[in-house]
Amino acid sequence: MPEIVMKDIAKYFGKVKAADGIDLHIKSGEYVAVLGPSGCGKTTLVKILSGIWEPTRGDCFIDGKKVTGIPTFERDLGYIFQNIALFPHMTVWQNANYAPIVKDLEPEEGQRITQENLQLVNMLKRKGFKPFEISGGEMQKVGIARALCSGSKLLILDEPLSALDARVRLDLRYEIKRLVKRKGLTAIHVTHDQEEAMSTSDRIVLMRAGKIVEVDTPENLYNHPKNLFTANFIGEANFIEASVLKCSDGKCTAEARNRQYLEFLNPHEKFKPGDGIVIMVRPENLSISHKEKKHSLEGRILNKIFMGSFMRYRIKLATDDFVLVEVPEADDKTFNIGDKVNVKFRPNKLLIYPQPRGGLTEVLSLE
Amino acid sequence: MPNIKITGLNKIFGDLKAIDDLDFEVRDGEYLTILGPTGAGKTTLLRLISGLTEQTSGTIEIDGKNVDDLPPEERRVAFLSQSYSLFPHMDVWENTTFGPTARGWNPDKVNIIGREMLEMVHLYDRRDALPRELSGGMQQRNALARALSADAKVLLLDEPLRALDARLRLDLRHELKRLAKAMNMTTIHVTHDQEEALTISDRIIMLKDGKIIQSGTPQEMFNKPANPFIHHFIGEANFIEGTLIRKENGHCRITDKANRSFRASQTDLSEGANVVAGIKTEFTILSKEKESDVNSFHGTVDRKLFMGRFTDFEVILAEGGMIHARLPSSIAHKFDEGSNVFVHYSPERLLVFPEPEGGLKAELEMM
Repeated sequence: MPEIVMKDIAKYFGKVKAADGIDLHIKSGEYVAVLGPSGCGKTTLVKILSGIWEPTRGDCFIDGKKVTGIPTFERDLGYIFQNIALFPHMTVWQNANYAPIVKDLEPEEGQRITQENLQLVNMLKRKGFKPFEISGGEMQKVGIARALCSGSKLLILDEPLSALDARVRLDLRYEIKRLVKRKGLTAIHVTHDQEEAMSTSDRIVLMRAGKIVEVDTPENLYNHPKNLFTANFIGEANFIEASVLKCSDGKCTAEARNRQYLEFLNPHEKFKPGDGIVIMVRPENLSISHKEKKHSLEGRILNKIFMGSFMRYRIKLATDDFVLVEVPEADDKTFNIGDKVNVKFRPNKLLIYPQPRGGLTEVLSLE
Repeated sequence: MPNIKITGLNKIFGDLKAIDDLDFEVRDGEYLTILGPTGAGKTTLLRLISGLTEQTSGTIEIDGKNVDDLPPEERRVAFLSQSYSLFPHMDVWENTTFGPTARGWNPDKVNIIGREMLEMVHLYDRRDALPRELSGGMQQRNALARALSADAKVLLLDEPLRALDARLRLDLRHELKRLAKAMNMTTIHVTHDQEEALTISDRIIMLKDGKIIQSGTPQEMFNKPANPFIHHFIGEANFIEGTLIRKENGHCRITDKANRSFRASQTDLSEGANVVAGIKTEFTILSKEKESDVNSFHGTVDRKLFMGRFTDFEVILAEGGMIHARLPSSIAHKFDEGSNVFVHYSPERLLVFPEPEGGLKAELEMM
C-alpha cells in the first residue's frame, strides 16, 4: 500500500498560481479527500501526483520514490475521471479487462481479476452491454472496476460523482468507500462537495487559491474548524461579529451590534477585553423559545423551511445579524413566520475567532 | 401573474413516451419544482412549455390563453437552460440587454431594465466583464438576469444549479427563489436533487417515466409519499416486505418473510394483502437498551459515516439484513462501529404500501 509525500509543490500558469507551496503526507491505506471551491487547485494537485502535469517546483514521492519526470503509466496508479471515460465501442467486460490485457497478464489471471472487480461493483450481470446501454451511475461503476483491474494500490478519484444524479451520487459514494477499504487501497478523492468529502474520507485536505487551508478528520473540521473559511465551507455556519467587553473566571462577555451581549468560554485566556472577534455557531446548536432569556438574543422569524426531519428558521436578530436555526420537526407548530423569539446561544457551543484583518466577507468568500 | 394549465400533454419520440398524458396547473406566482430521476421527462416538459419542442398532442395555456401555435419568443416565457449559453464575446451588460435590444425597445427603457436586473443579481459592478472572467456562480446569475430582462412572466429553470459547486449551490438556491418571488414570476424549476426540491418549493411534482406519480407540498411529499419509490427518493427509507395480518385501532400488524412481526401505520389495504412497509432513515431510532417490545430489533453497527450535522449508520440485524439509520451527530458518539444496538421503528412512521408490481427491488431501481 503506497504512501504519498508532496514537498513544496507549485504549479504556475502564467500569473495564476494553481498550486502554491503544497506540503502533504498521505499514509498508506488512507482515504483522503481534497476539497475546495472551483479553481482552488485541487485537480491540479492530483494531476501533478499522477504525472499528467509536471510541477513548476517541488517533488512528489510515491512509496519513498521520487516520481518527478516519470510518466503516468509507470507510476502504477488507477485514475477515475469525472467525465466517465469508457471506450464506447467496447463492452463492459472489455472495458474492465483493458488493463490486464495491456499489462500482458496471463489470460486466465486477467479474466479472474476482471470477473472479481466487476462482481465487486455489482456489474457482472451487465458485462455484455455497451456504455450507451447503461446508466451514468453504472458507467461510473465500470470506470471504477476498470481502475481496480489495473491492480495498482493507489487510486485517484477526480470528481468521480459530479456528473451523476444527486440520489445516485449518495448510493455510489458509500460503495466507493467500502471498496477502497476492503481492497486496502490508498485513495485520493477530489471533490467540491463537502458532504461527499466528509462521508467518504479518513481525512480532508481543504484548499483555497492554490494553498492548503486546513487538514484534519471530517469530525474535527466540522466540530472544531481552526479557521473561518473552513467553518463556512464545511457544514453551515452562523457568524456574529463582536468585541470582547470583559473577562473573568474563564468566561468573557462579548458585545455585538446594537448593544447586545453574549457570553462565551475563554479557557486559555486567549481573548482579552477590547479584542475584535467573530462568533461561529452551527444552526443545529442554536435553539429558539418564546420564554427562555438566558444566553439569548431576541429576533424575529423571517422564514421557515421544511427540511424533512427538522425545520430551519431564518431569523433576524436584534444585532441585525441573520442566523439559521434548526430544530426537530416535532416542534413545528410552535413557531411561525413573524414571531418574536429568543435565540439561545449556549456558551459551550460557540467557537470564537479573532476578527480577520481583511474583513469577514473576504475571508469567507467562495468565488 | 399568469397561471399555467397543461391538459392531456403528450410527447412521443419514436417508441418512447417522453411525456405521457400530463394534466396539471401552476398557480399565479407559485414556485413549482419538477423532481425526478434522469430520463423522467423533466427537460422535455420545460421545452414543450417554452415552445422549443412541439407536443405530439394536448394543450398548454398560459394566462388563460392557448399558446400551442405561438413561437417561443411570443410566449413571454424565460427559459434558463443547464448550460448558461452566455454569448462569450459580449460583456455582462450586453448579454443582459440582448433581448430588449433585439426587440427594438427604446434605449432608455433598455438601460433601466438592464440596470434593474443586474442590481438584483448583484452584478451591476461587474457589467463590463466577459463571461470567461466570471466565476460559475456569477455566470449563472448573469444568465438569470438575461432571462428575466426579456419581459417574461413565466420562469422555466432547467437544473439551474447543476453546474455549480455544492457549497455555492446552497447559497444560490434561496437567492433564486427570492428573486422569482420579488419579480412576481410564476416559476417551474426542474431538478433531480431532492433536497433542493424540498427546501425551495411551494409545491413539488414528482415525475417518472413521463408521468406524474405524486404532487404536493414538501411536507406532504416527505411525510405521505404515494409509493415506495417516492419514500426512498425524497429522503431515504428502510423497507420490509410482508403480509398484512391484522388491522388494529389506528395501526396494523405485518409479518415479514422471516416471520418477524411489525406494527405499522394505518392503511386502507385489506387483511391478507402482500405489502411493503418503509420508514425514513431519519426516523429509524438506535438505542443501547431495548426500549420497547414493539418493532425493536437487535443488531450490530457495521459502519458509521460522519456527514456533519448527521451521521449515517449501517446496522446489520441479528436476524439478517442491513438497515440504515441517520442520527444527529450530537448523539452519534454513543454508538461505535462493532457495538450492539437496538433498532426501533415507531409504528406511525412505518408507512404501508401495496406490494409494487414487479417487486420492491425493481420499484426502487434508480440508475
